[in-house]
Amino acid sequence: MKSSPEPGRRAVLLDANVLSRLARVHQTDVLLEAFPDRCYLAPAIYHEIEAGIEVGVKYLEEVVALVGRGALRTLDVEEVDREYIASLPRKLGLGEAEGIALCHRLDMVFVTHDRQAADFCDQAGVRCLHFRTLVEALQKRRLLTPNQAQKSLE
Amino acid sequence: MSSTTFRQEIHQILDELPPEVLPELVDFLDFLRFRASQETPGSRVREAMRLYTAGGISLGRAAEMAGMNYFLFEELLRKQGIPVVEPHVMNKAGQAVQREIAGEILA
Repeated sequence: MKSSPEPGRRAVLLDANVLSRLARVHQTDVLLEAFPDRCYLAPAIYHEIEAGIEVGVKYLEEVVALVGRGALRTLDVEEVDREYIASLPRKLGLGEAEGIALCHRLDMVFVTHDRQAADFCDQAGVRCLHFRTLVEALQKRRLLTPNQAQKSLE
Repeated sequence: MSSTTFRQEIHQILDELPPEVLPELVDFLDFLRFRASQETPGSRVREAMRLYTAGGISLGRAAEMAGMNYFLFEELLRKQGIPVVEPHVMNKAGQAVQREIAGEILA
């Protein structure tokens, strides 16, 4: 796992549900085309993916492969992020909280399919892209077929 | 959040509490201990699903409450036909912001 200190304003941090939905329809490679060298995930989400594979969620292996190729990078959580996470409402899980904290510090976009996470981003002034909007944009750019787009949202 | 972090946070809260509320706190902790003893893994999962579908907690928090791996919990919801609580459908201004962000970050 490599960490990049300066992901930049056009970088995205992907929530677990985004990764699982693309992996389930075998379309994780679309991330390489859409966000070349700008795709990140939170460490808690990566650990949950590894744990998911251990308990038999096979399609997550695609995500680990992306990490192995360096196309998807895990960021380090710093002390300032931990303090921010401690201030977050208990309605969020650790993966979502880490993701939002990192986006807050590094001015990245948090991509999610979760209402609570998206609502909190709005309140906290963290830029958030809804997975549905992303899928529609990818379909428009012909990076996903209508069938793939629909299946990823099911 | 780890058990250690929770314990540290609890100690911090305890240090800040006035002594007169401590008996009341002991009663409440007794109640929590009783409730935990009545819980089963199944009841925790059902409660997590209920809170998630009511829009009260995120999917990640629900999985934590259920004591399940995030992706197994997500699969369980899918198998049970429980719809995803996705971000709100927005008004036109909100939709425009979404399109603007998408346009900015996509290559």
